[in-house]
Amino acid sequence: MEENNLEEASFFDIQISGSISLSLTKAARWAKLLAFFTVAVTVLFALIMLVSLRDANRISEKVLVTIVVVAIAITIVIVAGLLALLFGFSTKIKNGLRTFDTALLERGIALLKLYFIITGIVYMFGLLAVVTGLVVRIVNS
Amino acid sequence: MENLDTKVSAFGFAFSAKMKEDLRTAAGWAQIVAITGFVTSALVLVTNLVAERFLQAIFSAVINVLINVYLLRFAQQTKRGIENIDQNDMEAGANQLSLYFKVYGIIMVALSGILLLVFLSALVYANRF
Repeated sequence: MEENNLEEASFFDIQISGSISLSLTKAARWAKLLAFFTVAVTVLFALIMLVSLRDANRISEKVLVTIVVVAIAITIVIVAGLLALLFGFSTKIKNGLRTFDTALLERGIALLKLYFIITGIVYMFGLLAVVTGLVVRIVNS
Repeated sequence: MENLDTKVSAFGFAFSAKMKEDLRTAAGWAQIVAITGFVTSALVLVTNLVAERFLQAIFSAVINVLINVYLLRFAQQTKRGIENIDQNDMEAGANQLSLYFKVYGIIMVALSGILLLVFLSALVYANRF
């Protein structure tokens, strides 16, 4: 009886149709590419910063280099965490859809949720930084 | 595509309660990301315009809006789909998610190309002087 109810509930529930399956597979594929090229962008950005600051001689310049290196290190840690989530989402969604494995799909969607939560928090800090910068600029002028 | 649909119906492959709950939370946070992104890009646009960096202003605004529009659509359609148990909205939401990752991915590919050129020119410049 209970099993019957479950079947009925899932029949009227939202199905993972061919269209959803195809879109999620595409999303997973592009998410992996995005993760790979975000690594490339982060590494290149860090290298450019280091090359432009490598000839720092004065104490104030050395302090600046230290600040930049710390900022780069923090960015790399955050980006690495986000990329691990994207890679996990991509792999689990693709495998889950291929093998019709609900548990894998659940884990993939949970990773997507975590990715958006962390991105949301990072974006809020970004907005705070931009607002602070604007306020400082207005006060100074 | 048709084959997949038949297979899906035959096995009753539906979104579980956990998947829907996680998708609803993901969509909520995606909406926050998109709205925060719009506000940030508007502020950055104003800052750049005031500093007369027109090219930078236009580029950053266009890229930000392009990415966040797809994210906002994903968030709205997915939330609506889960709340109204609407298959069409869920399909549209999943499509917007794939477009978001696609556009974001292409922008990152282009950006890494530009940064590679900047890095190589910085190396050449550093070795010359």
